[in-house]
Amino acid sequence: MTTVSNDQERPVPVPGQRPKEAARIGIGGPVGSGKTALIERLIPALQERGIELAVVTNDLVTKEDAERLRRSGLIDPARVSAVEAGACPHTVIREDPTLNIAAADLLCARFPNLDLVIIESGGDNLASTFSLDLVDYWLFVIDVAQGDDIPRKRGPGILTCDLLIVNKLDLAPHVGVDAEAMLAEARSIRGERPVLGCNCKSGQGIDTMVETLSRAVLFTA
Amino acid sequence: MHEAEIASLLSVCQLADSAFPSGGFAFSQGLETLLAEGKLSGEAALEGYLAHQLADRWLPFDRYFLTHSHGQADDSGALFTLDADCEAMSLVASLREGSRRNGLALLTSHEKIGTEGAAAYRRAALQGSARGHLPVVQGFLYRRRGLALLPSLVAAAHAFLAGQVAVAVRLGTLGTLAGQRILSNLQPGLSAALAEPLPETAPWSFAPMSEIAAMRHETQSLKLFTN
Repeated sequence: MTTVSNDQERPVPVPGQRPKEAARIGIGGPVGSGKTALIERLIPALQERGIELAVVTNDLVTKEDAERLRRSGLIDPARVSAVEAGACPHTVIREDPTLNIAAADLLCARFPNLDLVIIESGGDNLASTFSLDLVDYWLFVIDVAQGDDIPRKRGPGILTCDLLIVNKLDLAPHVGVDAEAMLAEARSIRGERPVLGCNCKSGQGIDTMVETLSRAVLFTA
Repeated sequence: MHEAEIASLLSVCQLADSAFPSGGFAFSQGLETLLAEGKLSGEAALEGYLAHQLADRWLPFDRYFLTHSHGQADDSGALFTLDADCEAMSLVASLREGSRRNGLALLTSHEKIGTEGAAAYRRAALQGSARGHLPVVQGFLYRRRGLALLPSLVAAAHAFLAGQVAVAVRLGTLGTLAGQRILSNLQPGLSAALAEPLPETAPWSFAPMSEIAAMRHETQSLKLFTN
């Protein structure tokens, strides 16, 4: 059972109760920010908690991300679905999310025990946002190597996502970035909306991220 | 003008609008391969290609299925048989799969906006008891939105042509204004064809250039569109 808030009619979790359908989360962000690497970290962490999941990818030009996940050994390849974006990474997650909705529904029909469908956007820019017709919750991934000025450039992706991820913290000293200052600025810009730092190479920050997702959409925390 | 006519025009504007979520933006119907391989280049060549697509594919094939679907929108058994016929007559795998995916995406939108019957048809498509091919779904949904046959055909034909032009524009091979010139130039021929009754022949198509391109598209590693 869920209740509805006035925040674009998004479901609000009721403690101790699970949603009737698989939750859907979006993961967006610029090209090369580490969206696929993040999913590769999230899959085993969520599976350890008994979460049944599937993934929809929106590769721009190839099926690189879908094939990478299928070959990873982390997830049954049949649980990974690729949706081509027709040269429109924005469109397929926002203006016309119907192909992604249908792909997620097909996965749910094929695997009725799913708890979660992760929808990975193609690499995009800071104006990228997910339609709430498509997802219940979405993450936007940036990384320190893109420059410490990315948060203050704002953009709808930075400002409106449910959870902002600053990835590749391990690279900060090598690219002359003060990671703590970058995180502090991101938090200052986003107000009460959360920001998490992570390092997908080492797994730093992944547990906190899974806790956050569990509270927000899986209702298991 | 009667209020019903105005309502019909408004419905056509809504349903044929590229802003209406239909999933159609992700399908090139073989055009991406033809442009990438240089088989088509320039405004005149693209206009000729689309005139051929209209005359030898959309009008004798899609129009047939849309027309019959529109007429049988209240008979799910007949609709699903028509859907199966459309499947059987779609030789090229990427075009066949694309038509089903596009139809399912359109059903998704109509279910969400409350078009009567869309949810049941979509459920059947998800479960595999219906195929959900685009022209069959269009005829069914447009009828359920209250559109008569002719405006339904106009909406679907325009969406097809505008979608093809958008593919060329997004691939950087055609200017957006050149695309509008092409659409304007194709309108008289389309109007004349739709003014004539549907021929009493079985559905057919003869578009080997685009079909072979769509087959080649299936094996290409670099592509932006589904087919």
